[in-house]
Formats: sequence, structure tokens, C-alpha cells
Amino acid sequence: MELTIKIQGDSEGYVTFECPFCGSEFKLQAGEYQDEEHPFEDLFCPYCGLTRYKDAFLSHEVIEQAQAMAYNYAVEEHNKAFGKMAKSINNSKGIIKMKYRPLKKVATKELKDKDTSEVEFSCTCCNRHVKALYCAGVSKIFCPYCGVDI
Amino acid sequence: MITLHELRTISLEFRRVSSNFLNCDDDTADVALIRFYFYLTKTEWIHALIADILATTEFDFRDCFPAHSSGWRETSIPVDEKQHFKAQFDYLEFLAKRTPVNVRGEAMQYYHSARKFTEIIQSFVCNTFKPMIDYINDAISMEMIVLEAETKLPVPAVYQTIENNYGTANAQGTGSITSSNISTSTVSDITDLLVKILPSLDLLSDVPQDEIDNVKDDLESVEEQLTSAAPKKRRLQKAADGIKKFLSDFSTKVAVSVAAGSVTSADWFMLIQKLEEYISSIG
Repeated sequence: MELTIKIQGDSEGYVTFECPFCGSEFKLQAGEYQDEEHPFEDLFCPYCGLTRYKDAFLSHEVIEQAQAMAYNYAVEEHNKAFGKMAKSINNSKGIIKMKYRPLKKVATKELKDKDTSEVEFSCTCCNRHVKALYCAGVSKIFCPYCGVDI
Repeated sequence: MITLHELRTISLEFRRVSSNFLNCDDDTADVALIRFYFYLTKTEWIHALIADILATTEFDFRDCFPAHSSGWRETSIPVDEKQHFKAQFDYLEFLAKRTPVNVRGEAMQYYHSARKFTEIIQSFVCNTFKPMIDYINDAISMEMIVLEAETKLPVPAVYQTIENNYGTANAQGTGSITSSNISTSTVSDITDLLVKILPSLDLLSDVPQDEIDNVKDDLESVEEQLTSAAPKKRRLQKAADGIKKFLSDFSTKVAVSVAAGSVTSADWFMLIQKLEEYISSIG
């Protein structure tokens, strides 16, 4: 079983991520993040510079969406199984009857990144890009991919 | 003196080691703590930073991490940031030097709601040592900014008109010129330049208001320290670094005409030069 989450980037194709250490948000270009020719395991927070495996940087909206999709999948499977069971029992003309109320799915929303005030900075070391707050960027930020200071 | 390249390397290494420590689990916690402690004590620049704080601060780490009669421990953070830093480092040293290190045992003594050992350990490490990591990380970044500003700072062109004169004239367009003589009029020179420059800030165009406000704070901080009975070197240095950064970013936009004449980038460079002379004289 595989569930796919779709996130629409901003007008320049950037998607929001969230640092698990300091909670700061920053944006990465979807194409660079998913570039199979340059795979990576860990990400660095551009603000605090600390590093963790890349999934830890998914924003809380993405995690909520993933949880909602997983919940809906489980609900669907339960409803299918119990629906089938109820139909089979009720059709058997026995003395046992079964009633079941299908579980309700939770609402999922379309994930869409808006254009925000963050500014694009590029790393001179790996040539990849990050969108971060201007004030932080001109003083000191770190490349999310290679970790060097930009 | 450390170079920018060396500091960048330390920054990356420190962030990797501290991240490993913050991300440690039940199996790796003891090793990660010892590695982190060794990195702090073996890296010269960081060790000097820590030693400076430890030498000037008195605080028992058990006051920051007290134990209750019930057996539980809690964190009671002191207001003074340096006392908090010292408490964290001493606590780290205490844990690193005891046998066995047993980070899990220590973490279990603090209030926790997580059920997994790894979550309890990570929560303990983050709550207890993250402020020290942030402090060191910021100190490294600030030093990098200063070193970058020094390497990028544009030097004003030197124009000299010599007429009806005999002898040799030396002019230097790049690099720095130092003098061992500290003029007694340095303070009054700085004050005069501040009186001239401060009103010109409101007339600057094409410079973001935030940047103007920041440099205004730095200039006022210098003014305040000059009139203080005991000027603080660190504050002056911080203000000077801020002014340098502002000038390196907007050196072409600082020239304006004010009632007292005109303010040019040369006035700003003169201010920085005089300020540095003054800072080195109060060392």
C-alpha cells in the first residue's frame, strides 16, 4: 500500500519545511529536493544550522495530511470489510442479523504553498537554493543540503 | 588569530556533533554525550569561549538542575545567561566524567510524558543542553560575520594633492593602517562624527528602514558608552561591527547633505577608524 501526498509549491516551485529543533520555516525548491541525481539523507536548518534526517523537516501540515490520509485509508478498509460481512450475514436468512454504521472519513485539504516574504539565496558550494527571511539571510544562514554557511 | 576558513570548518563540525547529540537514542546517548563534551574541550576556539565564561561566572549547576525530596529533578533556569551556560557545561562535564555515563538514567529523573526511552532522552538533552548549543552556534556565527565584514569592508580611495612641496608622500588604497599613538582627542573626534552622522540617517534614501534603525541603535550605543564612567569594550565592539556591516552594505548610499555640511562615506570610515583606536586603547 502506498499513499502519495501532493504539495503544490509557490509560484517559483518552492515548498515549505519546518525545522524540528527551532521550529523555523523555510522553503526548498521541489525540483532540487527530489533530484534523484543528487540524493541526500539529511537536511540542515538554514537558521540554526542543526541537522537531522530529511523527513524530520516535513511541516506539520504535511504530517497532518499524511495522518488524515492514513486514517481515511484505514476507515475505507474497515467499512469495506464490515459492509461485506453485514451483507453476507443478513443474506444468510439466519436468526442473527448485523447492523453496522460506516465510520466517517476526515476531511483532507489541498496543500498549496503561497508566495511569502522569504527571499531566495543560493549556496556557492552546491549551487542549490533556499528561501529564507531576508534579515537572517544577509547576516548568516546555512545551506540546507550541504550545511555550509551562505 | 583564527581565520574565516577555520571558523567555517568549526561551525560545520560543531553543528554536526551537536545535532548527533540532540538526535541520540538509547543506544547512542552515552557516546554522543562524551563526543560532544570532547569536541567542546578539544576545539581551541570553542574551549577559549567556554573558559572565558567559566572564569568570570560563579554558579553551582545543581542550583539550575535541583532534585526534589520526591526524587524527581527539574530545571530551574537562572536569569543570567552566563550562569545558565556555566550550569549546562558543568552538568555536561559531570555526566561525561562519571562512570557509567548513563544518560538514560539521568533523563528518567526528569518529568516526562513520553513512553519511549529515545523520546525521553532526546527531550532531556534538548531541554538541558540546547541553550548552550545555541549560544556557541551564535557565537561562531557572529565571529564569522565579523571576519567576513573585515574581509569585505571597502577601503576609501586616497586622494592627495601636493603642491609646492618637497619630500615623499605615501598613500595606501587597500589594507589597514595602524598607529601606536592614541590621540587624546579620539573621544571628541568620535563625538563630533556622531553629532554629524546621526542626523543624516533620517535623510538616507534607498536604505531599508530596519537597517537604518539598527545602525542608529549602534551609533547611540557608542554615544552612551563614551559618556559612561566605565565604557564596556564588548558593547563598543558589537556596535562597531554593526556599523562596519552597515557601511559594507550601503557604502555608496550614505552620502547626504545636512545642515552642518555634508556627510560622506569618508566620515563613516573615519568614525570606524577612531572607534577601533578607542576600543584598542581601553583593552
